[in-house]
Amino acid sequence: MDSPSSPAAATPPATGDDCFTMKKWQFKLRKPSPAIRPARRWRVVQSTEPQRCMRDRDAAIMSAAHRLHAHEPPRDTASRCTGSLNKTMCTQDVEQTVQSCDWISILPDDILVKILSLLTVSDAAMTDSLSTRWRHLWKNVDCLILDLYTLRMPESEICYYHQKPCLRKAQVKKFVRKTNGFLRNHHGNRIKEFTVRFPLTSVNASDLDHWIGFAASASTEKLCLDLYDMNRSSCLDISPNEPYNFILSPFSDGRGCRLSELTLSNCTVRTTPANLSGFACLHFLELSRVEIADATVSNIISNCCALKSLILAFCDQLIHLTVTCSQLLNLDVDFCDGLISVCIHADNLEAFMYKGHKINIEYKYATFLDTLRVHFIMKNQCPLDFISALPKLPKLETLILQFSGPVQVSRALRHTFRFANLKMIVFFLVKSWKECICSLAYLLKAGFSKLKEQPSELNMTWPEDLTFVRLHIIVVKGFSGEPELMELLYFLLRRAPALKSLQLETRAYEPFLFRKEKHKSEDEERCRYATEMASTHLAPKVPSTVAFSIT
Amino acid sequence: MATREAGKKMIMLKSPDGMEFEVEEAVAMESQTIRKMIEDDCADTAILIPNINSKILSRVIEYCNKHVPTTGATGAAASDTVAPAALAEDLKIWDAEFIKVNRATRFNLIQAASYLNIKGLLDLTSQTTIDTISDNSLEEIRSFLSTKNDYLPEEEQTIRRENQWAFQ
Repeated sequence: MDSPSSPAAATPPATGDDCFTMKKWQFKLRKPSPAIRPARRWRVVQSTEPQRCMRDRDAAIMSAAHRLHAHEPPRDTASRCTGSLNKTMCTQDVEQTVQSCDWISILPDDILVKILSLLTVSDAAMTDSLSTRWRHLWKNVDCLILDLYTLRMPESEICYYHQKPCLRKAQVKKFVRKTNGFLRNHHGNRIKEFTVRFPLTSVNASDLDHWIGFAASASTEKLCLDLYDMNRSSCLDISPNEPYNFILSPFSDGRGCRLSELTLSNCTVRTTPANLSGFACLHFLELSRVEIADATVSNIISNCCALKSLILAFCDQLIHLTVTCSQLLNLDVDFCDGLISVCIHADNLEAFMYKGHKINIEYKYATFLDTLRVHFIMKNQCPLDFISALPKLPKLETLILQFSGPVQVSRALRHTFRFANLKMIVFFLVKSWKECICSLAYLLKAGFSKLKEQPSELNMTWPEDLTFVRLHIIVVKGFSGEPELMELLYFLLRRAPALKSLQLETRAYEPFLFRKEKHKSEDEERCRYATEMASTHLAPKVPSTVAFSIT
Repeated sequence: MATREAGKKMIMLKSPDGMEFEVEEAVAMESQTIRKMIEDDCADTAILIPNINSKILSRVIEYCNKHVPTTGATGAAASDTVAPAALAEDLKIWDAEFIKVNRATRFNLIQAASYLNIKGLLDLTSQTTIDTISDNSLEEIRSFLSTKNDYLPEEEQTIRRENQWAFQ
């Protein structure tokens, strides 16, 4: 018997372990995991002779195979080998027989369709030609993702659109032809996911209308129409066509409609039919770069009685947004440039995220809100003003704020908020804060227990009456050894008696930007400097009770 | 072993070749089919799992044992000490090792996962099969899967015409 400690014994060979693991499994797990060893929660009660098992197994496979193939599974070889303990010989033997047998065709239809659903649509359709067993099977796949990759169209050509408009035209034509060919043959029955990802415009409206109709009649669960052109910025010289107008009429009849997720990108939604009962099961709605008016959004939402998540991003035509939805749990409003005010009537809302410029907010009952993110991007706009407009937040646990500029102490003091349940607060500091850094101390006064910061010989006056009794953990990401930040840390170390851990991370952490390659060496230098500052100046001042780390 | 099992409900699973496995309820519940049986109180005596022989069944149980959520009563201590990310990474490595079996075993596992309705195992086993089909020519797939082309030439022409969109 193999020794349990021997690594060779614990790792089975890549193939052909059919027969010799037989002995092993009764006594131990095949490979003990490096991190945790799960308690073995099962055992064999009664065991019969292995040789018999193998024969029965073959019999079981044969019974599944009876209607399909005259192939003879490796009955004799397999069972003979099981009895033998000669590992190498029987592995080879079994492997050879196994290779020559068409095991996959034995599987029932529903499993094969499930496997085909994992393939790209082109690969799935290709299996039609394999053999009569595979004929028509692919037409039942329930995951239809149509994009350049799944339709086997070379992506490299796309880059030259702006130079050769005709190339783009040809590509569009090809995509439409392929998609139509695919949908013509597909059975269109209970589709789980239907995605079209290709920059199409109103020019192809009739085809797109047809595809949406197909999705609606096929009881699609997840529908995604992403018409955004990733290379848009590079082809500004081409006069852009009108965006496609998404038609909602196929969803006016709710019978048989199972739509639960809808994602639209780069199109317009102009009118809503009087009846939109097809949206009754919708629980996720994302509109990104969609030209849509305030009234239309409200109209759609009023028809979605099961809506849980709503995401509105880059919808520049929105001005006064009103969200009235009692079931809503998550609301994201990102970078809607024209927005002036948001009015929320969603008493069950748990997470709210806002990114962009300053807006007016009307939100009366935030009883269940536990996560709030506010990212301000404009200079001189303070996310604290946004929060002060909100009602009481009794359940709030996580607060994430992005400051586009420093906040004055006096200004911070104007906002006296108390969050009884707050567990974590994250500050994104985009610019350097200099002497304003003490404002952060005042912000913490509300009684936060965890502080994360993201930055950016000072004479500053620290508040005197502050002691942070609940502050346990301080994490500073993107630490560069800035003097003001060092001062803040000294201050916090003096005033936080319950502090358990201070973690500094020097890695640059930019929420919405990617650092360019050429800045890399510069950045390494910055990290080195920060580490040195922290270990020479900060480390001696950290009490022994606090776990201190720099990474 | 007896002490650890005390106080936990055990389920008896029986393969058609006469082997019996005593499995903790939480492990057995990884299979939606068995879960349904337990919830419907049909699991008082041993559950006979038809069409799945003892060897495949033991592998399936091994998989379920590993994938039982660690937040359960037994695994509470484990999830405290190991970060969730590390745990997921560990599971991935374990899965990759688990699926290194020959084709016959793999297809038996697919069948078993489908019958017992274990989503994770079905995804894992199907994905490995997909990897052999993706980005290969028809002839290559045929040889990988040992499928014989049993179409008549004219039939093949028809299918080719029908699926022209996929080939060009």
